[in-house]
Amino acid sequence: MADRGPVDQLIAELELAGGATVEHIAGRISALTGLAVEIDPLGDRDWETVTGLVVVSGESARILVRGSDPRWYQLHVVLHELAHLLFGHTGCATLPLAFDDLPRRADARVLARGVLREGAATVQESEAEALSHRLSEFVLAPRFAADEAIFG
Amino acid sequence: MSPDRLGATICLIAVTVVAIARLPSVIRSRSARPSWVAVVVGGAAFVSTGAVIPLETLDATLGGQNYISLVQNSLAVIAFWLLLEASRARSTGVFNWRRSWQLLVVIGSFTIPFLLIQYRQGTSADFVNDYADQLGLWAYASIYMSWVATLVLLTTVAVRGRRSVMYFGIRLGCVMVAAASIAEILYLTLRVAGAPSSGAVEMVRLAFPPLFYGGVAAIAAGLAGFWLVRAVRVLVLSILHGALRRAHASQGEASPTELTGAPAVDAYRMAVAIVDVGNTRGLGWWERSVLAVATRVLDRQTMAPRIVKMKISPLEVLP
Repeated sequence: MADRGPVDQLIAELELAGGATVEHIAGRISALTGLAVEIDPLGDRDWETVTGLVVVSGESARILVRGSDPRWYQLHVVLHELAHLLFGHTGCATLPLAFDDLPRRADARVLARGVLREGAATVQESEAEALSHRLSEFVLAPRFAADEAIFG
Repeated sequence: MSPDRLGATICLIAVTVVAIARLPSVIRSRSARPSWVAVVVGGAAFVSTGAVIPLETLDATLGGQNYISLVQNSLAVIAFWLLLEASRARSTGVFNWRRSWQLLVVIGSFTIPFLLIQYRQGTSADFVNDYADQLGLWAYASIYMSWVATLVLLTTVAVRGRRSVMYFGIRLGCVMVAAASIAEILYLTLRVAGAPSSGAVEMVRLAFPPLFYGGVAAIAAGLAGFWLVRAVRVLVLSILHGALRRAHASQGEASPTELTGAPAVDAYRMAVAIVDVGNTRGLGWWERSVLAVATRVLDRQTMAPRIVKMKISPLEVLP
């Protein structure tokens, strides 16, 4: 389990309210990191064990998510990648594919959300997973939570 | 049983059900309390019609001069005022108790003419009709009904733009109560003006019970709807979470997440964990079936958005 301290601190910095949208969260993270964030549902089952990845290049980050996954799972993957960006992570030890072999620009880094195998979880993955879980609490608030709080 | 007594009894049952059903959320959440108090005070107003304890008994405890009518109307305006302020609190985020001075003005404004009504001796089950030829009664009941109409119409303004379907019941109920109030004022004005009893006057009088009590029942239904929707959602997601947890455990996996107390979030996290397992080594029929149900339920019960292509610049100003 990741240390709650940094996660709580980042959640506080994001200043989110219940019912926040993915676009709003991405906007806040973009503002805090200075990165232009692009989210793109691409890919399919051919990705196999890679459920999403983020390519960080210069001042921009492109999050690619496996479009064939259920909506809520894509949400989790996007939040996980956004969490990596917010933490400023530099790598992903659980990466199941050899991205180092891919040709890419010298200043680019690739973070991927693969499948966390037993014993393979790193501090960065745990942090990203913990933060994404916290972020999901904002997005998954019931549609009329504020009304239910008053009248329910 | 008179239409008034029947309507009051039905409304009393409705608000009692709502009050009991909402008890857990009221204990848990401070923000739910004002609207719950509104329901309880509304219930007390219906009790004061004699729906439970005979009217004579209630009025006798107050001196037997129809003070029970004043108590009943005071409770009603308090209930409608609480509903209005609770509706406003949904927008402002805080219930403004400081505005409760308004109740003194409202109640005071119809208490004075009530005290001017002559010969109030003896409890009357139909107090308004029995004394309708008096100007004091006209002022008392008309001012009271005017406040009720004002409060419910302000409530419809306070809930404008709210998208939950439950507000349909609240809006409809408020409009019905306002219409009932206007009908009652019209009837009282015709009576005090000495209009001869006619079919038209009777129609105006008879319009009040179905409109007023029907309106209150519609408001109670709207309030009950918020509770019911949440209760069903919590139940469905709790059952789903249990099934997901068992499916996850059947894969020999330890529960990966601690419970948050939010069933949607707990079910979502467990479903994510199962998909992660499935991505590694595949899932059996049972696990795939549970996951298929989870996908339908989570897509329906939560606000998990469809991920669409988007591009956000750090210089963009988001609301």
